[in-house]
Amino acid sequence: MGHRSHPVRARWSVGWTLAGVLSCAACLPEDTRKTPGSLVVTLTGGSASSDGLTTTDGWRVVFQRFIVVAGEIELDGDDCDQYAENDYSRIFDATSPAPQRAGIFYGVGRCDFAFLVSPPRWDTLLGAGMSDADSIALRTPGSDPYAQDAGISIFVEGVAEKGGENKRFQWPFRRFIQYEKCSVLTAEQTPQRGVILERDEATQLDLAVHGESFFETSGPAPATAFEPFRAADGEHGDGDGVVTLEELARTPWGGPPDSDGREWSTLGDRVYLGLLQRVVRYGGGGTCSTLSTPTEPDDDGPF
Amino acid sequence: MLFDNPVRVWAQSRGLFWVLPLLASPAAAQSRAPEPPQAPASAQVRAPELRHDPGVGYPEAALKNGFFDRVIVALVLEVAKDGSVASATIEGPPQPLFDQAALAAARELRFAPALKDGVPVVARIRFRYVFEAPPPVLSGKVLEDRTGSAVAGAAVTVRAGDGAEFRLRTTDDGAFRSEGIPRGPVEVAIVAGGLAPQTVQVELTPGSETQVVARLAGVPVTAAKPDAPSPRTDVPLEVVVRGEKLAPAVSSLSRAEVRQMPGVFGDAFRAIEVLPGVTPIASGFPFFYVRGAPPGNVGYFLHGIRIPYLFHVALGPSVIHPGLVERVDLHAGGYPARFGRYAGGIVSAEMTAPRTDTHGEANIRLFDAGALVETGFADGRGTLLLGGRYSYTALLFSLLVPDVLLDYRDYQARVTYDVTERDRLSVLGIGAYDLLAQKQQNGLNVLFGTEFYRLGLAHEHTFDAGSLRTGVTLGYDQTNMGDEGNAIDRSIALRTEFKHSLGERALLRAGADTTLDDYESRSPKYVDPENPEVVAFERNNPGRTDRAVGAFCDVVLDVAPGVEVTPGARVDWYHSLSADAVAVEPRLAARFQVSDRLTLVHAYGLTHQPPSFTLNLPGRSPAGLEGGLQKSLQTSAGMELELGAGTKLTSTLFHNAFFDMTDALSSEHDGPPDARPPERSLGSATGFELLLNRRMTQRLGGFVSYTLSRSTRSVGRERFPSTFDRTHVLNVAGAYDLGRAWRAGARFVFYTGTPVLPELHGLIPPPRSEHPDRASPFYRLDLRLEKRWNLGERTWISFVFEVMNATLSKESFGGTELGPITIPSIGAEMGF
Repeated sequence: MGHRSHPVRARWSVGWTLAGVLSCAACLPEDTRKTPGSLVVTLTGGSASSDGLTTTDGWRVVFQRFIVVAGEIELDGDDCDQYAENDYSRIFDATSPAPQRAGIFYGVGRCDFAFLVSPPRWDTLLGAGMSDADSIALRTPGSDPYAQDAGISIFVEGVAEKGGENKRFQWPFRRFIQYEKCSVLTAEQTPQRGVILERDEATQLDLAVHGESFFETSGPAPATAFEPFRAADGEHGDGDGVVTLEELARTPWGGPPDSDGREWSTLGDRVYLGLLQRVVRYGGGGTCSTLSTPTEPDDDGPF
Repeated sequence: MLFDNPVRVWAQSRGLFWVLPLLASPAAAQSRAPEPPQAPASAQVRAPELRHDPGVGYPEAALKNGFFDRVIVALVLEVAKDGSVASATIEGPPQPLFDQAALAAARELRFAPALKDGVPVVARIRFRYVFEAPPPVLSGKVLEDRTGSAVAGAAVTVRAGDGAEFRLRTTDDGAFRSEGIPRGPVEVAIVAGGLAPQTVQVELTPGSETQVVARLAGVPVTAAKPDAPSPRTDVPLEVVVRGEKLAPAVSSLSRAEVRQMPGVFGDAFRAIEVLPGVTPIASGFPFFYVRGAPPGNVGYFLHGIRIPYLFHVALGPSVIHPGLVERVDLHAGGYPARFGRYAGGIVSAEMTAPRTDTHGEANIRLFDAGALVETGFADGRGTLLLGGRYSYTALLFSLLVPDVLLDYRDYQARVTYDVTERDRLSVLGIGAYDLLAQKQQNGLNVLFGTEFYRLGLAHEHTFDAGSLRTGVTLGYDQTNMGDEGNAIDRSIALRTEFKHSLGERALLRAGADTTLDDYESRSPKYVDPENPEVVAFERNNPGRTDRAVGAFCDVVLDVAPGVEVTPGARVDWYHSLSADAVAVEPRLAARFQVSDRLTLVHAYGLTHQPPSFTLNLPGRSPAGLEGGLQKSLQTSAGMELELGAGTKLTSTLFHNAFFDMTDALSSEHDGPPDARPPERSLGSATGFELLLNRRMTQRLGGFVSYTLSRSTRSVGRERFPSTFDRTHVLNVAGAYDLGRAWRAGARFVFYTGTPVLPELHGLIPPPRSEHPDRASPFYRLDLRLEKRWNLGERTWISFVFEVMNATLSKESFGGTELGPITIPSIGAEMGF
């Protein structure tokens, strides 16, 4: 009998073997990626957005409310390892001159930078000074000459004054604007596309809100003007002292083509479909390819 | 039982005297007649003589294990002066099951004591038992198909695998019966004058009775013309092997049936989708609603062990090797009291019984390979099973999409050991692993991963009138949601179940269980902590320890012939974070056999469940009991009608009422499910189910499964159909033996569309409509073709081609089309 294993011992040895197999089996991989670099993205209301501006034609324009919904920032590219996606947006008060955090990203390599200005979703975060009521108002479907049953991505409300004449404006823009392939000019005046993330290095990038963009003229020299807007309420509108999007849409645009060659038939077209894309700008005076659409660029469907 | 008289006797005095010196081998002794005792010449010695032998049966546990061999147990008995057996010891190699039975039986023997000079003395004798497995029983009835009348005098010829023939005749009531046919596969041929002959293959198993009911069709009276069709010969035989009695209102699928079902890839769990009451979410997507209850409210159990999910990622196979699954039961509602803690249906898989003979199977397919092997050890007292599956999708994907890693695998291990004839210890280990990851320059970026492992230790004691099963299960579950975080659950569950027969007409079933789940949430290292998905994940999966304790009891009562009533109840206590809740759940099920063919079935029950997510994922469960438990009142009434020719019709009316549901998938419409605390909803599901079934294992088998239902939810003042409410769901399948071991099958699936949800793009949702537009209906065709070769008595190999959605149909969800999701499978299977 000496060569026979004891039944109880054999039983336990089988059991321990099994337990050993099981204990080794928990094997979803841990995150062993090397330490990445970080990128903190902020959004800042420019001086015009926060302090107002005096247009070239002498109007003093002050924004009382300037709300921008931005986010869904994406780092991408063949040479880019983005460590996590940040598929969310935030409602910003662009009258605040202080940088507001839009998100932090981790990655390594040369990454294309893209972001989206769009109406908020159910999970869009509230920036400083924003409330649930603001979120609900922005998410409530509405229509205007350029959009139907859509939410609001940029909302501006303010007053323009010149020589004792006041004009109010309240413009809810219902638009999705996708910014892609953003780049800046380096000190050597060569375009640098995207951002470069080095290991263990922190990088910062600021998106600036330029309220003056609504009033930019199309002449050869950079200038701003409010007179066309005054006329929209006066000659082409109801003269009630409030400049509306509907009045802008009825106001013919007779200025020269924009610097990119685009021509517009109405002031509303120019503001809604053209200038609106220049309100939010890539940091450091950079530029992006933009795509402005009345609906969400990509619909993921039911899943 | 067969008993050998003691053939040789030796006795050794314990200070008394020698009766006989040690003998030769038992085999040699068997053929010899008892020899007179040899003793000192001066003594007159008479050996003990057997007077009373109550006998001993072949151990049931051996039969359950599939062990049928002839076994001889040699004993040495000490016969006292009064003729009783003072002691018994085993001589020879241990054969535990049989040794225990022999020792117990030997103590009941009575002898005329040994005599020395006419005076009773203590004697030691050699004794032996020969165990022969009880013969299988083949019985049945022969009926005329049209009238159902008995056919007397029909010739029943049984051909065994070795060519031996056994000829039987039906009695006046059309019955036949034989206990003299050896075990194994046999062919039963039935011939009666004026009726079309029938033949069927059945497997005869020792200890089991196999019943064959043949309905013979009539042969045309007029002489058949040369080109006239031959008499109908496809009137089927119905074969029933007596086995476990299923609970009322349960839908059950055996693996043998599932193997023939097109579009399920031999996977018993996937086959659940064909049953009435089951509403698919999307074609090929292995998650489903059961009578209006969403996937998160459906519980999955393997041999009583809770498992978090059934299928590998994407469209993968089930996480349990099919060879380990004997049967899958769908308890759509009003289920037995031993099931609880889920507000929807229960999918319960029973494992195959342990087998001591070495057997196994293996398969290789386009995407994975699997194998399972089982053998006995310790002279039949123990069994060891090892199984597993490995996907080489990782390799395939690396060729197609180099930076994506998709991987899955699972394994199973089982050890059983019969400590005594009545006590069995078993250890079960199962595990499943899924990973979807992106290969980056700096390492692996996990996009989604799940794994779960179970280690269960159980002890089962059987006694004359029942059994007691006690087990402990350790669990480790983990889901890696990539950027959102990891959720981990380490669990321990204790469970005891008791069955006791209270006479011939009542069976008591009772038990208790407790579970402890220790949850842990791990945030990823490189994410934005403000990301709402990360925040939601941390909120939904806080570290904590949840507890649940429950007890249940029901009684299966045969209150009258053909009337079975099962009243029962269970009580559960839940604790999560700082909240507690208690649930009391009455259950009632009943079967009324109205006639030989018609049975009415009723099932009612109240069930509770803590808050749940949309889908069950390992390690993830909502924390706390805020808002209370989810509740479901389940009612159903139906009938089962035997139509003859092996065909059965089952129809059921059901109504389920749901309360306080955390059913985000069905009712949430502002944001994706599970992303924030869901709105509690009321709900109901009402419907009619129909199943016309002829076993897929027959030469021509198939089924029609149809569900007409409406499932609604109510939140506040809004009432609306459930997101995946489908009015009509139809499955029609057939399989046919083409001859020469070719078998072909097809399945047609049709269901109507889900409610069309408005595309919100983040907008405040409008009020929900009670009668929204519906997406387009969907249909698909699944095909299966198998060729099988028998390479020996037990060895076979088959080639299987199968395709799900051969019609390349696309599915519509509102304005979005999905697919076509088509899964082809080419593979080979073998078994021995």
